[in-house]
Parts: sequence; structure tokens; C-alpha cells
Amino acid sequence: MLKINGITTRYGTVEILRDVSLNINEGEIVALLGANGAGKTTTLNTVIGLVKPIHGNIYLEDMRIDKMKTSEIIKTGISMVMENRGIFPDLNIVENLKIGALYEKDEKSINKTLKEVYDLFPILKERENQLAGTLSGGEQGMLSIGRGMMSKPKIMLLDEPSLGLAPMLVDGVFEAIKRINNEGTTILLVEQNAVKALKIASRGYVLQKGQIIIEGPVKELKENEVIKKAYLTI
Amino acid sequence: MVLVINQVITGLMLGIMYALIASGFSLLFGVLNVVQFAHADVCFLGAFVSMAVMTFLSKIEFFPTWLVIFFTIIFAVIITGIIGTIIEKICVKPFRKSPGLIILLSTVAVGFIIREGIKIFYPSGASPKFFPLSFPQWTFSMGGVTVRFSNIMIIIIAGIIYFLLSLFINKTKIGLQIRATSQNVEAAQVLGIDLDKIFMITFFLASTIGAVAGILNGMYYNIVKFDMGLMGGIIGFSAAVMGGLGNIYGAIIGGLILGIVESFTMAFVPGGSPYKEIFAFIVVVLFLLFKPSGILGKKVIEKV
Amino acid sequence: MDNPNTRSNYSHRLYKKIGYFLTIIVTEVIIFYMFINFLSSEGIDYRLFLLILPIIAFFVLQRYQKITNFVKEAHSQCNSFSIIFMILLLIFIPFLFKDNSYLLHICIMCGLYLIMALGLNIQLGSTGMVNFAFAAFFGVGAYTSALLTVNFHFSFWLGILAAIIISALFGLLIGSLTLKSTGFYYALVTMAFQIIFHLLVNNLRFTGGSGGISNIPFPTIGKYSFGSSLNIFGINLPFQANYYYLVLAVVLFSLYLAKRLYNSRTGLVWNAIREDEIAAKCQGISVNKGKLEASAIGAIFGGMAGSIYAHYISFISPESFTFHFSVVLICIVILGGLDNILGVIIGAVLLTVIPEKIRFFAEARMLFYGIIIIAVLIFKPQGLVPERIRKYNFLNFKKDNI
Repeated sequence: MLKINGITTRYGTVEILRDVSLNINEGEIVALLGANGAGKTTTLNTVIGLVKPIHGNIYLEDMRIDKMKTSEIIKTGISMVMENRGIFPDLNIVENLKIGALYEKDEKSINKTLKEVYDLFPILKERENQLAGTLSGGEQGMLSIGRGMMSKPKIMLLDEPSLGLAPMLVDGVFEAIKRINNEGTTILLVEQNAVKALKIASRGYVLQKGQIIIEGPVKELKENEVIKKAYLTI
Repeated sequence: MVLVINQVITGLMLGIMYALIASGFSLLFGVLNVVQFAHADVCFLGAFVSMAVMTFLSKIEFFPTWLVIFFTIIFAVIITGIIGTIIEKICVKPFRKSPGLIILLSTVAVGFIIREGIKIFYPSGASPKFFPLSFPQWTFSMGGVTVRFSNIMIIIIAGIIYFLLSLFINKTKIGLQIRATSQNVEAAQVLGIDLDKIFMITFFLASTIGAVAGILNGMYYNIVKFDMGLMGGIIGFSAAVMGGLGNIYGAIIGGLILGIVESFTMAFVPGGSPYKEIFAFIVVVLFLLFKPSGILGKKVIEKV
Repeated sequence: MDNPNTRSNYSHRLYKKIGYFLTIIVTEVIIFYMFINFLSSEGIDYRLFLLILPIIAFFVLQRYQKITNFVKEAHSQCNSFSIIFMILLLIFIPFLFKDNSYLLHICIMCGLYLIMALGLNIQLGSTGMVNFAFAAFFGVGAYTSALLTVNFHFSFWLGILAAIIISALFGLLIGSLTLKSTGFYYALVTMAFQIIFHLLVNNLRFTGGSGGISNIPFPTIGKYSFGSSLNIFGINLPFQANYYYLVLAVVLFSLYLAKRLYNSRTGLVWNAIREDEIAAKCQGISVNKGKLEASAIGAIFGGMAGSIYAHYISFISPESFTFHFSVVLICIVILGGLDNILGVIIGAVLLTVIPEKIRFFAEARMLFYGIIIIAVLIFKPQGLVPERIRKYNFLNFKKDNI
């Protein structure tokens, strides 16, 4: 469904991504692993249109999206949950969520999706009118994911949703991601926490210094010596 | 005592003018992180545009005066708003990813272009011009205190402007996007908010409010000069900074304070009139020394 | 023993050296000739032609990279010769203009603007401090020198010394007010200071009010006064020549000072502050000290120029020390190239000489300066002569934008 073909990006004179290709099929959860600075966030930023690649292209189904503006890309059915949540601190929860549905015209539809988000994260309903800046880290994480759901995306990009969260909350987050996937949303999950990511994903890629070095179904990855040594030693 | 009250009124009027100008600065900085140094020049450009429009419309025989005035204000405000967006396209958009001081420099430059442009291209632009619109001269005195109709109208109009602005920012979808952009511009982009659009709309908004400020200024003082935007800009910017750059309430307070300081200096400090700006600056510096983020400003913590 | 390799190697190097010298002589003479020609030309068309010529030449040369590279190599390899030859050429100017003292006047003003631009470059270009008060530093120097010489009968030489000290103090004052604040606040404070300076000088009695100070005495060396015409080898040069040589000396001194500072640890510290203050602090650099140094030293350039200006024109008034003039200086530094001494020279020459000769700009001067600033920022933000990468074996650590 989402095909990333041979992407190369640059920042100034430094190449961040070099000839990166990923393939995400409909309904899958695909994990993108790698150490800090490997280029995972840049990959997602390129898909969502914040960064324009120098070489390569990106297709969503049969639509080429790498040359589009971010607002257009959102409309095609991709949403992104940013690293560090990216919430709006002085807006309340409802407002934060509503921004997720910027291009949805139908009020009823928005409210229906809102309800779905509240079903998944009941605590957000409780604190509906609270300013997002006053929420705890875990609650902000939930808000961020909920906001990503609001545009009813075909595919959701998640950038390190477990970052900075207490272990107990991390499980909740991955639970939620699994549930969202079950409802029909394809997931591209960027994570440093390889163990948790590989638990819910079906396939994975490993990014190192801007290049994909390993890819394959999760079962193979778990057996892979390099990954075992680098990412799975607890 | 009576003298003081009358001076307070004078100061308030000046203060409201400064507040309106300062609000534009704060709006643009708060939402877009942009120091639009030529904002005051845009405000006074609004006054000149209205004069030009009025001259043009008056030539249309069958328009009654009130209709001319009505359309003048509407057209002038819209045209000035559009000029604001043009300034954004030329002086701000190319530098969105550059350090903010570049935009400060480019807007200082565009301020000169506006002022000199008026001086050169407006008929006898170099001399002060009489502003054709003004309020009815009704006054009301009580025990020596004089309140003019214009005083009340200005307070009402300013109030309406701020009310409408607040409504727009807080209750509309675009307002929501503007607020979101001001809080986290990267997240705003990721969610599909069109930054180009937001920049354009915010500049339009600030410039239209500015145009109203310029026209009110002309109507109250009955005189406009091409270089009023220079001092007006520096004082307006100072007021915004003093109140906390980015905070519109702070800009209002800052503007009012400086207006009163200047009026009082002119009235009560012997021989102080030419130095009134110095007193205003001293007040600004004092406030900044004790509260560097401004009166209502939020503390900015630098992310290392 | 006579290795043929070294022999041909030696003569090869000799020819190359001679080639360099010739190139330097040719390029400098051409530039010099065009400059003199432009200054002395009459008629708008000819002047416009002389202006367009270098622009065309510039684009043509872009395609012949080999030639430009060789020229650049020549100037950098034989740096001292290049400079000395240029100085020799410059010494001739009063002789060439002995019958047209107005042109000499333009050269003097150009030199003064250059001195100031070098000072502003230290603050704006090297350290990243956007200073709108440079005209005030200029004014402080001028008024200090004028007041001391007129009211207290100091000599010019003491006057310029006092101007340097007082403007340095003002530089420290302005710098200190903004140590804790970000760039915007510094810019605002400098604007306020500039306006306050102008207001005070325009209204206080002891600075002469709007009428300014007149009858500022000529500098003297012993019995010789700068007001009298200069007689060298039997040729009578107008009195401006005295000032010309004084300004030339101070310009050379300023260039030397600016270059030494740029190449010193101080210059590196300034660049570090400009690039990332917090990172600099983390490296143990005393940012406050660096900012104060930049502020004070930059101010000194302004003070020197101000003092010379006062004693040259013999009359100063508040009109010369306005916010507008500060913006003109900023325009010069931006146009020429931030933090680049050669660029500043070019910027100063262009923006002093061209407005003088193309007079229809006069009314719209500030309009053009505004347009130039924006145009440069959009199209060539590094200025006409982009900043050189420092000559270390480091990777390029400059960001793409200013």
C-alpha cells in the first residue's frame, strides 16, 4: 500500500537517508528500528511531506505523494504521531483532537471518530476540557495517538510512541496500537524499543546510518544475530 | 486634579493608538514568531490609502457622503490587509527558516520603502497632510473634566476590534489553526495545517487592524505624515516588548502605559516635551530590567 | 650535483611568481583606473556604462573560472605585494584630483564610511549583534572631539584619543544593557539609544542644539595646519589632501586591526557567539566578555571616524547622526558581505561613490537602500563577497543561511 522507493535526503551537505526503500502492505504493522540518529524520524518526515527527497519517490497505493504538500498528503489518508507527542499545550483535549480532523467536513463523522477515540482512551473523555499541557506524559501520548486517529487514516505513522513513558504505560500504548490496527488501520511504527515493537509487528526493517541494513518478517529478525546483539539484549 | 484627569484621558487616547499598533506586533510575533518592524508603517499607510480611496470615491457623483465614508473605510482596510500579505510574501516567506533577526532587518528595510514611497509618490507626500475624516466635535464637560465624543468612540471601536479579534481566534476553525500554530509549529505542519495560509491570514488580520488604527489616528488627530510610522513603530514595538512579546493583553497594557507616560511628560515635565520618548524608553527599560519576559510574558526556556 | 629537476623547477616557480606580480599589477591598475574614471566622468550615460561594464565582466568571468582562480591565487600568494601596490596607487589619488577637490572629498567620505563599516562589521558581521545605533557612536566621537577642541582648546590628537575612549565607554554601556537578552532586545535597545542620542544632541544647549557646533579647528602638526594646501615635490595639492592621507592612514590601520582581530581567538569567539551562544557558553567561552569586546571595539571605529569627520567638515549638526544613517551603514555591511573585510570595502565604495555620481537617486536614497537590503537578503544573503571559510583544516561548519 505504501511504497517508499530509494529515498535519499540531505540536510545541507550531509546525507541523512541513502537509498532507503520500504514496503508496507495493507493491514500490516511494520516496525522501523534503529539507533538514535539513524534516520528513522527523517524517514517518517519524508513520508508526511516535511522533508523532500533528493532522489527516489513514495507511492500511496498508486498515487505519488513525495512531491505533494503535507496538507495534501494528509488528505490522501496518512497521519503521523510525532516524536515527543507534539501536542498543543494551551489547547484543551477536544481542540487538540479536532485539529486531527482538519479536513473532515462532516460534523457527525468527526463526533463519531471522537467517540471511538474516547472508547480507546477513556481518560481523555474524563479530562476533555483540560489543557493538554497539564496532562501527564502518558496521557499526552494517548492524546497524540488519538489525534492521529481523527483523520481516519488508511495508514498511521508513529514515531517512538513509547519514548519517555514508564514501562507500565508503554504496554498500554502498544495495546492501543494493536487495537487500532485490528480496526483496519495500517501501521508504520518507528521505535527504539525493539522488543515491544517486534511483539506486535509482522515485519520489520532496521535502519543504520541512513541505510536499510536488514529487513524481513519478525520471526527472522528475532533470530538475526546482529539484531539480537544490538537491540534485543535486555 | 482636574488637569490630571484630562491628561489621563489624553494619555489613554494615545495609549489606545499605541495599544492597537502594539497588538499587531504581538499578534505577528506570538503566532508566527515574526518581528514585523514595518507594522506601524503599514498602519499609517492605511491612513494614506484611505485618503487616496476617499479622494477617488468622492469623484463619483451619485454617492452620498456617508456611503463614500463607508466604502472608504472598507476598501482602505482591505487594501492595507492585502499590502500586508504582499509584505509577507516578499520579506518574510523567504526567510522562514532563517534566524529571526533577518526578518527584523528585512522588515526595517520595507518600512523605509513604505515611508519613502509615500513621500515620493503621494502628491506632496513630504508635508503633513490634513486627514479628511473626523469625529463629530461633541463634548461633554463635568466639573472641568472634558470628555469628547471622539474619546468615547475610540474606546468603543477599540473594544469592538478586540472583541471581534478574540471571537475570531477563539471560536473559528481558522482561529484554532492559528492558535495551534502559535503553540507548536512543527506539530501544526504534521497535522496538515497550511503554514502559507496561516502566515497570509495572520498578516492580513494584523494589517487590517493596523489600518483601522491608522485611520482612527487620523480621525482623532486630524493630521498624518509619512514618517509617523518610524517613531510609532519603535514605540509600538517597545510597548509590545514591555507587555510581553506575543501576548496581546500585554501589548494593550504596554501601549496604555506608554501613552500615559508620554502625555504626562508633555504636560507636567517642564521643557520635557521633546524628550517624551526618552521617558517612554526609560519606563520600558525599567520594566525589562525587572521582568525580562515582559509584564504578562511567558518565560521562554531555551531548549539546548 | 646540479639536478636538472630542481633547475627547471626553480625557473618554473620564478615564471609563476612573475606571472603573479604582473597579474596583480594589471588587475589593480584596471580597478583603479575604472574607479578614477567613474569618479571623474561627466554625463549620466557614461557613468551608467562604467557601472554596467563590471557587471558584464563579472558574469563573463564566471564562465572562465580558470582565469578568476589564477587571479585569486595571485593575490593570496603575494599578499603583501598586492597590498603595497594598492597603497601606492591610492597615494597617487590626490595628485590625480588636484584640480577637482570635490572628488577628493568623495574619497575621504568613502574612507570614513569604510572605517565605520568595519566597526559595524565586527558587531553585526562577526558577532551577530544587530546594532541600529552606530550613527550614535559616530556622533559620540564627533561631538566629543568637537566639544573638547572648541570649548577646552584641546588639540585634535587629544580629541581623537578622547573620542576613542568615550565611544568605547558608550559601546560598553550599550553592550552591558543587553547581556541577558536575546537579539531582538538588543536591536530594540540600540534603536532606543540612537533616538535618545539624536534627541539629546538636538535639544541640549551644550551640544549646540539643532544648530550644532561650528568652527571646529583644523588639526595641526606643529605649525602646519591641515587647512592649508599641501605642497609635495613642488605640486600644490588642495587642503583636502591632508585629510585624505590622514584618513588613508586610519583606514589602513583599521583594516589591519580588523584583520588581526578576525584571525585571532577573539574573532573566533565572536563567530562562535554569532553561530550558537549556548553552545559557546558550554565550551567555556565567556559570551559576556565577547559581546562587550565586540561592542566596545566596534564603537571605537565609529568614534575615530566621527572625530576625523568633525575636524574635516569643521561643523557638525544632529542631522548627520540619525537612525537613517545607521541603516545606511547596515546596508553597506550587508551588501558587501557579513564578516568579510574585502566585502565591506566593496560595499563602502559602492554605496558612497555611486549615490554621489548618480544624483537622481538623491530624493529616493533611503528607498533604494531599503530595496538593496531586501534584494541582497533574498538573492545573495552572503553579500557580494561571501564570507570565506576560515583557513583551518576543519570541515565546513557554516550553516547555509546567515
